[in-house]
Amino acid sequence: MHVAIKRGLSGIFAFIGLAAASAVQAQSVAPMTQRVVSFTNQFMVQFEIRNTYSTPQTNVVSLFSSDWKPLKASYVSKKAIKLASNDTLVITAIIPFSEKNDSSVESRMIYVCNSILPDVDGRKSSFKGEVCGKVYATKLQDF
Amino acid sequence: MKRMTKTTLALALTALIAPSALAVDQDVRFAGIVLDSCALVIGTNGVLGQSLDQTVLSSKETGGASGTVIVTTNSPNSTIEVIAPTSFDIAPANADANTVFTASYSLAGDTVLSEILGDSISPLGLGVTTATIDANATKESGTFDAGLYELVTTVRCTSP
Repeated sequence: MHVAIKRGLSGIFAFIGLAAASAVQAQSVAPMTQRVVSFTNQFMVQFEIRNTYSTPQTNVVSLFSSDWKPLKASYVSKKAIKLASNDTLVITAIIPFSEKNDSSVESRMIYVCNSILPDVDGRKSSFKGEVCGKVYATKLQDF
Repeated sequence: MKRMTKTTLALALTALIAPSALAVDQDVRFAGIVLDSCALVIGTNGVLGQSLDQTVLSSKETGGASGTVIVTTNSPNSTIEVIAPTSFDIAPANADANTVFTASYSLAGDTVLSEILGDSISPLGLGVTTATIDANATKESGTFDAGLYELVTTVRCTSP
């Protein structure tokens, strides 16, 4: 059993020098900080994601609350998409100020994240790179 | 004739003086903002080694190796953390039972830090930093069965 485990691990976790290491050092999420306003109980945010690797990769978009809990009741135009090298996509998301969608909350900070689990030659990396930007939303008073 | 000469001289002097008196420098100012950015590119994958008693799978065990991630920032405002997995991606049945996952990292390059627990958030300096990542899975009871094990840690860079 000991040898079997060792052989298996060596096979799977062998070092992979990713060609992506020399990829363009571009922004993965832009802008990293954003302020939006809304008249309603929800706010809309748009941000750009980019595949920073030199090979096509699957980008996964995640939204988190200020305490890093996954956001519920939100709309995201694309939650996962495969982008070509250095390709970009604008993501639109609609998020409620409050998880209960009530009118008591007047501002909110959320994280918008783009994560890439690099896939090179059909093999997944053992690390997922996740870049997160912040969005500050404020509700405007209706006069 | 003499009056004409005086008048001409006066006009010539006025013409010479007038432009310099009217010349005004006006600065036109341009301003722009370069937003904070952070880019992560996976360098090398890690290798999980195993303890002799088969209760620990770790990149720090014999036969294991750390992974690396290249982090590039354009300001000293970004932060980094490493999130340990909550389960194996690939493993024999029941491998996650009684297993605790942890991660740690060290930074070298424009930011230097060593042996930071994964869930600790560290500020990044301006420039290129190489993050060396270690992952660890420990059986609190029992041992790891034979088979293939694969886990994924998340390296997170956040703006200010």
